[in-house]
Amino acid sequence: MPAGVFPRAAVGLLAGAAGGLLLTWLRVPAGTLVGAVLGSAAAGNAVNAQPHPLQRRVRTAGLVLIGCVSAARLDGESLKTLGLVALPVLTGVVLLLALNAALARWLMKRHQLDPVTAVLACAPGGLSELSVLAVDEGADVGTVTVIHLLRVLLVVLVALPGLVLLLSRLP
Amino acid sequence: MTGAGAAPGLVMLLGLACAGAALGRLLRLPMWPITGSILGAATAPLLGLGGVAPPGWWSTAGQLLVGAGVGSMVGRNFFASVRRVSLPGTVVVLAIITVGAGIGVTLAVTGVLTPTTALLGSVPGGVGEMVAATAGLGGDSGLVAGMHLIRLVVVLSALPWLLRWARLRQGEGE
Repeated sequence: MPAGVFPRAAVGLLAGAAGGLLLTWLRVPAGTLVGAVLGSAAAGNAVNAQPHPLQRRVRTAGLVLIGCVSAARLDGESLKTLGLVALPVLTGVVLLLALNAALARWLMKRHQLDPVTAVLACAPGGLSELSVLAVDEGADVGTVTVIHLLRVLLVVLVALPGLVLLLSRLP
Repeated sequence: MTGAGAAPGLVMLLGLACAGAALGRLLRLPMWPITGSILGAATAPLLGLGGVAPPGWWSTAGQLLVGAGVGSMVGRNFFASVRRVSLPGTVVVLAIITVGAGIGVTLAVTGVLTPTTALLGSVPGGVGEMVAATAGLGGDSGLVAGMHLIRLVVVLSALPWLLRWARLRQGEGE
């Protein structure tokens, strides 16, 4: 590995942390993740950062931490109810996966995206997980990340306030 | 459980998540860092650690690490991609949100779940925001988190098959 690869990779990662903290402080929706991606991408391009094992280790540590936080939200009572409604919930997820396939086919045919990028861009998964998967699978990471950023922003800024307004008016 | 007394529980929770991730890697689970850690940490209630709540900065730290790691790999095409895929991306996103909301309405209308839980658990958005909104509306936030976890684990497990299918379709088309 040529000299200077580690410091450049570290600069990109630190700039990502700074960007994430800045957008969190500014209370931008999903700002932590968005700011970290933007900060790291901008600084990485500026210093011409090259791939380094440190970047993969940092992503893995972050995913384990997110998995831990997500699972801790479940308590015994919720797990019991979840068991009762698992079948209809799973049916809904299967429907979303079918939509995933149809939309990916549309992106491949109409917009000439490669199959891996198209499938990952339309997958109804999490932004963090799919961005990491895009890196691992050799997809166009920019395209996958941009479409999932759009999804999170539209849900948080448009769909969620609409749903909260609607649900708070229900008897 | 919060404060200094919660520290041993938190260490155990993190240990379970790491053990789950390590096992997931061994078993070649798709996206083992997240699927493995979720399954590992989900065993906490079975070990009497059900009330352990990680501090808020754990989530922030996780997102910073993932975001910085991903951002460092996106390359020069990232900012060009923003312009290029904004329009088709919006179509894709609107379709996903509409179908997700439709599934939520179906679950509510058929009486499977309350409207709040059904809708906020079915729209594929940011899990943290959906869970927080559910808590604010007096719904079952744990259940909503569970619904999003099911979606995440099932989608990540199904993606290798979907990717294989897409590659085959493209191979047939060429």
